[in-house]
This record gives sequence, structure tokens and C-alpha cells, in this order.
Amino acid sequence: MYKKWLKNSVLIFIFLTGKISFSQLKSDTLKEFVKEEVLSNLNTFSKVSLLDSNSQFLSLNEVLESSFPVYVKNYGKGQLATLSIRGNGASQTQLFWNGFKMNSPTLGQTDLSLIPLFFISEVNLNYSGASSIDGSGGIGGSIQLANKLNWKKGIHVGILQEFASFSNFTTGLGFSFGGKRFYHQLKILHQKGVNEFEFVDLSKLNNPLNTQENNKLKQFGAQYELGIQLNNKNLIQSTLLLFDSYRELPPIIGGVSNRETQGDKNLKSFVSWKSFQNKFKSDFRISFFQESMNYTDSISSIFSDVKIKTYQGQYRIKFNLLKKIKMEASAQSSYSEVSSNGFESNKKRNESGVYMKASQELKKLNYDLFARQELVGDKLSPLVYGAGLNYNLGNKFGLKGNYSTNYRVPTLNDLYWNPGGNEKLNPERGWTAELGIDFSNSKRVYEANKIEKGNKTAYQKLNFGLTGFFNQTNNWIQWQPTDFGYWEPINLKSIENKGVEASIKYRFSTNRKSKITSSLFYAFTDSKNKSFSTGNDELKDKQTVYVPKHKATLFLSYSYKKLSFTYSQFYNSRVFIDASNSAYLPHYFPANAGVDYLIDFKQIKLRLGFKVINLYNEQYHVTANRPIPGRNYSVTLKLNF
Amino acid sequence: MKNITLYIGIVFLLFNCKKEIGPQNLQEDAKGTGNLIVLNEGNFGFGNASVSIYNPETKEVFNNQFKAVNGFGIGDVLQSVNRYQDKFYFVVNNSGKVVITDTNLVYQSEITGFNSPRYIEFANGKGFVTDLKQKAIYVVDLVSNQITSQIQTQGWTEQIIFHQNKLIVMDRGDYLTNSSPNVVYVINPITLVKEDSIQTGINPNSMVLDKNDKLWVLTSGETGIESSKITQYDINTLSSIKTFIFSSSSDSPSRLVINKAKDKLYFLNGSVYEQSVSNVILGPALIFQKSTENFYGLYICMYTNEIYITNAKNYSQTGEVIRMDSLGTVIDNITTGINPQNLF
Repeated sequence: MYKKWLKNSVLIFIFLTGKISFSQLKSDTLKEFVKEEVLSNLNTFSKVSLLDSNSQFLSLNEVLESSFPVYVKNYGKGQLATLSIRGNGASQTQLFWNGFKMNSPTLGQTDLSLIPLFFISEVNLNYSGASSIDGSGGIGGSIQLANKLNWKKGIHVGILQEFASFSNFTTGLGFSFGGKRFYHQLKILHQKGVNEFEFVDLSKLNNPLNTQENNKLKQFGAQYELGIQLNNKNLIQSTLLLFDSYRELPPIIGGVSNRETQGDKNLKSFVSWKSFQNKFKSDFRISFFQESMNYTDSISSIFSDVKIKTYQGQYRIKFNLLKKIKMEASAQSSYSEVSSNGFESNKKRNESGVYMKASQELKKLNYDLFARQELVGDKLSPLVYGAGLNYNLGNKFGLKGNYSTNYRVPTLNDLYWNPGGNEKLNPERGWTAELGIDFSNSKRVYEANKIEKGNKTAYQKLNFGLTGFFNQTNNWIQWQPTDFGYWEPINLKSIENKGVEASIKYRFSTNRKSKITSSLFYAFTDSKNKSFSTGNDELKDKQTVYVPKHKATLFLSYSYKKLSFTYSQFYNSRVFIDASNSAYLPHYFPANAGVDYLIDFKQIKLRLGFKVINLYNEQYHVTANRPIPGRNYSVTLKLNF
Repeated sequence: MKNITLYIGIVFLLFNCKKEIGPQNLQEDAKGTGNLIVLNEGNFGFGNASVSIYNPETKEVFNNQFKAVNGFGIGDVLQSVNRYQDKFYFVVNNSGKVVITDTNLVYQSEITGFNSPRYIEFANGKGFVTDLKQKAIYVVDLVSNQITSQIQTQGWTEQIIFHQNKLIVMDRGDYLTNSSPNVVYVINPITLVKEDSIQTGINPNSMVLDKNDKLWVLTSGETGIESSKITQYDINTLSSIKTFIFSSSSDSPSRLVINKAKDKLYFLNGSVYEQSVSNVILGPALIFQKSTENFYGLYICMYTNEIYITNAKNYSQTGEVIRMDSLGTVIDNITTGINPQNLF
């Protein structure tokens, strides 16, 4: 009797919950579908997610500059910007667009200034060993850029307009339409700037002020995103991005401008088919990239032209093993075709790889194990593997430790550039380990002495983290002069980086809608050249160039109802600019400040912003003899309905 | 309260320190004296060219002297220097300018408007500046420091010598391909007319005049077409007298210079070689074997006959100059700026 009753109740319960789930399914599974990726991040490795709604006017380098703990090297406003993670260089930073490698197969790098965040909905910075989920190459770390559909029902329009110093204008338009099964989003971005700012001319007697020349830029981009919900378990997502950038390249301080220009055109596209069954989730995705880059210096008769086509495919799966072990795996393949006037003939590259990860959450312990094996051309690459764990120490303290390896294959320029290309190059290999402790505490604070307003509460949240790291990169590829008048890349050296990163975040809010957010990041990086295949012992133990020993970021924001203020302060210690450490760029200490006001009118939201960049009008260089503008301003308008 | 005062104090200090801007040298540059100038080319596009002063008597070297004296850097890619009366004329290639200083390196003035200047020579009160890309030689008025005219050439004009009232100028052809025609012009500095020309081997890189006023030209050749060679010419008859062909494809000779007596040639071919001008059959002899060095420039002191070899190392670190006697015995090793490429 009792058993029967139980059985029935359970049945009824299932029926009820089933019914409830069913009615909720449309929106919930949709959100889950759109948000959840088959391949998840490694939680036992350091990483950070960037991007908030205020970043839409910025390019990727501008957001990374203010984020812990990476160092962005740039050549001035609107110009080439690359990333250095924990002492490694631009080439050791791998970028992925929706899971597909996007570093140029010829240069091995990505210019971050050509990535407007307007088209991106999520940025993950993996600055430790968790960089090889989507592919190898990120010995220093990786950045994952993702397009996520927000699937807002109905028609929505967003208009962005920015007016900034030095005749910079940015216009963004967004249009979305969400239905039951379909979601469409179209975004258009147009940006142009003259960027003739004043700088201290160090090449002239008494260092007069001079005006930057040949520094115009123009960017145009359009992106179409489509989501199709086939049924409750199958979702198609697709993005097509066209981006066209034209910019002038300014001379260095004291140099003569040859009126050089650079044009970058690219098309990026991908289609993903996610299928989420109860016990088995899969994602099949394919992509096509077409890129062209041309550099023109007509005074010197130098015209460089590179065209790249890349086809990539991936299949990702996720399932549980023995019920408790979460397994994720993927297989991928890519094929690139490159024509460059630096090569004698067109070059092709084929890369394939398999990846597998196992993770488990135990009572006090989580662990991740992963391995990746790739095949480049007909060469089997070294196995990449890693392991990490989180241990809950109690009292809101957690311990984290991990170890991983990685490698990077030589670029097509390294192999085939004429003259100098070296087909005998070995891949760069590296390993990294980190150990960290973190503390996180949120609590509700009652204002005890205001009992009469007993319902007034305040919340505070405090996070603290301290991580030590060590990494080593061997077979570092660098171009060296030869006796024949040209340069040739060789596996030159090993570098060793060690350091400590600390962060404190504090948030305080009251239910009267006043909120304080503050964070302080600090990174110490000791990056040294260790051994040279050329026997150049003179450079041993010298600090690697363009890696600051100390970097700190302070961020403060205060908002009250619809008004908010932000202040950010950066500090970068001096960097050496030559291998023998005889010359350096001094430290810099710039700050930005901004104020934002939201006007709400029914469904219409208008956000007005004003920002001062380089508040204290500091004159500094991030790259030697490439000046950064002094104090400058921007006004932004954002309209959404 | 104390803390706030302290904080304000720190902030105040931070904003009131006299801030350094741009590239700095770790060691403070002291002003020094000496009679040899080391030209540190620096890296293209880095603006880190510098001038070092070397005192051969005390063996002291003073780096970054132009900046120490004038408070600003000399520019991007320091190519050459020449002296006219009591002034130095520094040719700064990628800054497109010639910087004029007194003999203590104190900045006087500059000549601008060049495309990619390489060398300067003086004749009849005028300056003549060769250029990598301009396909011309600039003529400069030395009083107004203005470019007054240009003498058209085929391509990249390089070394220039004023000799017996004529300018002898090397033309390397198209600077990207170094293709022919490769000639040495004889130019009248008054009429600015190219009066004669000598056809040389492919891609001449340096030249000198010997004690008999014969011209020696070192050519790089072109892989698969012509080997490098060293050739003696008669500048009156425009004909070649004798030649030595470098047989190996790994030969890459450059930087032809001559000693004080003008009877012995020196050049780099990885290591340092010498060649007597009077030998009927030419055959260079090794005088200084290199190991891991990257020899980049060669200079013979016209007073002491000592040989100075510059070592650019890997081009991205401070270089060195090796000073030796005419037999190849090392006298001194001098640490310089980045890419020391010549002395004066």
C-alpha cells in the first residue's frame, strides 16, 4: 500500500515537474543552449572573463590594458597592439575566435587593435596553462573570443555614437529580432579618426611639442548572427563577420614619414550545430576565414601583400564517465592556403588535433586533467598535457595548483620567407606551473545603529587572491642576422619567468542602489633569458625586453541610482628595450576617469558617458619613440529600445 | 589622519618628480673627450642611434655623447659623418637629415628634406649627399643649409669621394634588387655634370683610392649570376686593371678600406682580410679570424694605422669595437652603443 502510494506520488511528481519543465522549456533550454559550451574552461587554472557593456566602443587591446595581469605593447593610438602574458611575447599569445585559431599563420600574431569589442560578446583571458582547450600555441596564454546570442524576444535596436578627441568618430548600429525558433542580429560599426595629437619631440633641441602625422584610421565592420532552434535539443548558431580596416602608419619620433599605409580586410564565419541529449552533448562547428593584408610604402617602393584562406572544422563532445567524471573531448582539423610576396610559391598548412579533458568535483577537491595531440603537416607534435586541482581549505579559503605543457609550431614566415626561412626549425616548447590561494566572502551587513530603518541592508563582498607562477619557454624562435646579409630565424634561447600576482576586490552595495566597486591588481614578473643556442652568454640572466617587473591596476567605481563614476589608475614599471639591458623606457602612471548617466523612459534607455583618458596628461611611450596622446576626452551616447 | 597625510604626500611626490620621457640609458652619460667618433647606427625604426667618443690614449669610451651634449637623440639610423672646416656633418638616414655640430658635438643646425641620405662629401663650398632611394645626389648650400639641386642617377648612390677636382660616386642600381646598371660616376662639382662613368661588377658596396690614384671597387655580385669581386680601375682611362674573384658562394665581402700609406687594402669577409695593392696577382690574406662575432664595420686610423673592427653582435644589444695594430694584435675592446658601424 505504502509502496503503491509512493510510486503514484513519484509518478505524479514526475508528471507535474515534467509539465512545469515543459512549459518553461522554451526560454530555459534556449538560455542554456546559447550559454553553455560543450568544451568548458579549466576551473583549476587562472583565467579571467572580460567585457562589460561599457567596452563596446573599445578595441581588444584597450580592455586588456586595464585588466590584470597582462602587458599590452602598443605602437600608439590605433596602431599595432600585442600582448605579453607572464613574460612571454606576442607570438606566444594565441587568439581564438569562437573556438578557431585566429593568429595569422604567417606572422603568428594577432593585432589586437583590429578587434572591435562591438562584435564580441565574451572574452576569456587564459593567462596560465589553460590555453590549449581550443588549440596549441598559447605558451604564454590565450584569449578566447566568443559570439553568444542573447535571444531577446521581439525587435530591439541599439545605437551607439562616440565623439572623441583628435577627430575620432565611432558609430555603431545594432538590430535584433528574436522569435520562437529564430534569432537574427545585425551589427554595423563605422569608425574613423585623424589622430593628429601633440607629443614631446625628443628628437629636437629643447624637446618642443610636435604634431603626430600620417596617423588616420578608418574601420568598417558588419556582422550578422543567426540562431535557429531546431527543436528542444538542437540549436544552430552562425556568425558572419566582415571587417575592413585602413590605417596610416605614423613615423617614429625623429623619423621621416614615408606615408606608409596598411589595409586589413577579413571575413570570418562559423556555423555551429549543438545537440544536447540527456547524457551526451555535442557541437559540430565549421568555419571559413579569408584575410588579406597589404602594406604600402610607395616612397620606398615596398608593397607587401598577403592573402590567407583558412578552413576549419571541429567536433566537440561532452559526457559523463562512471556517472561522476565529466569528460569533454574534441577533434579538429584546419587547412590554410597562403599567398605572400615574401614566399617563392603559395604555401599550405594542414593541422589536426584531438583534445580530451576529465574533471571531477569531489567534496573538497576538484580536479582537471587534459591532454592534446596534434599533427602539423606530416609531423606529429609533442603531446600537450596538464593537471590542476582546487582544494577547499575551509573558512572560505581555497587552494589552487596546476602544471601544464604547451608548444608552438614555427610560422609560415619562419619556415618559408625568402630569403632566410628555415625549414629546420623546431617548435617552441614550454611548461608552466602555478600555485595560488584565494579567499572570497560575501555577507549582508545590517546597519545596527539605524534600527528605525530596519529594512535597510547593505551587502559586501570581498575577494582576495594570491598566485605564484613559474614558466619556461625553450627553443624560442627569433630572427638572427647571418653572414650573408639577410636574417634567419633560429631556435635561439630559453627564457624563464617567475612571479607573483595579487588581487583584492571589494564590493559594497545598499538596497538604496548605491554601489561601490573597487579592485586592486598587482603583478610582479621576473622574466629572464636563460641560455642561448649561439652561446651568447653576455645576454644570460638579462631581463627580457618589454616586460615590466611591476604592473598594478586600481579600479574604483561608485554609482548612485542612475549616475556612476569610474576611476582607473595604471602603473607599469620601466621596461628594458634592448637585449643587453642598457636602455629602458621609464615607468608610466596614467589614469582614466569617467562619468555615466542613464536616462530611462519606458522601454527607451539612453546612456550618456563622458570620459577623460590620460587624466594627468602624462607623456609616455609604451614602445620606444612611439608617443601616446596626452589628456584626451570622449563623449558617448548609447540608445537602446 | 596620519595615513591620509602620508598618502597625499606619496601622491604629491609621484606627480612632482621630474618625469623622464621616452628611451633612457641606464648609465648616466658623462661628457668626455677623445679624437675618435664611433657611429652607432641603432635599429631601423627604433630611433636609438648614438655617438660614442673614444680616446685611444687613455682607452676611455664615452657613449651617448650626442645626447649628453645636446639633450636629445641624434635620430634613426646614423649612417655616416664627415668633417668640413670645423664642423661635423652627421648623416642620419631614416630621419632624412644631416645634423651639423661643432667639433665638441654641440648642435649647430641641420639640413632636412632628404629621402634616405647615406654619405656627404664637400667640394667647391657645396655639400653633396648620396641617397638610397632618391635616384639622385643632393647638392647642398653650406651657408643656407638648404638643398639647392639634385644630380640624377640610376639608383642607390652610396660612397662619394672628392678627388682631383672631381666627385667619384658609386651607384648601386635599384636599392631593392641591386640590379644593373652598376656604375661609378665621375662628376664635375661645378657644372654638376656626370662627365664619365665606369661600369663595375654587380652591386658595388665600397671603394677606395690607392697611392697611385687608382680606384678599387668591391662588388657583392648576385647569386647565380656573378661572384663577388675586387677590381682595380684606372679612373682616367675608365678601364679595369686587375681583379680578384671570390669563388665560394659563402663569400660576402664588404667594407673595403685602405691604410695610411694607401698601399694595403683591408676588407671584411666574415673575418678580416688584407690585400697589397701592388701584387700583380691578387690573393687576399686573412689577418684576423672571427669566432662568434658579427663583424659589421672596418676603419683604419689615418694617424696610427691601427685597425678598428666593429662587432654588431645580434644587432639588438650593445656592440663592441675591437682595436688592433696593423698586424692584427688586439689592443683594446670597446663597448659601444647599438650597432656600431663605423668610426671617424
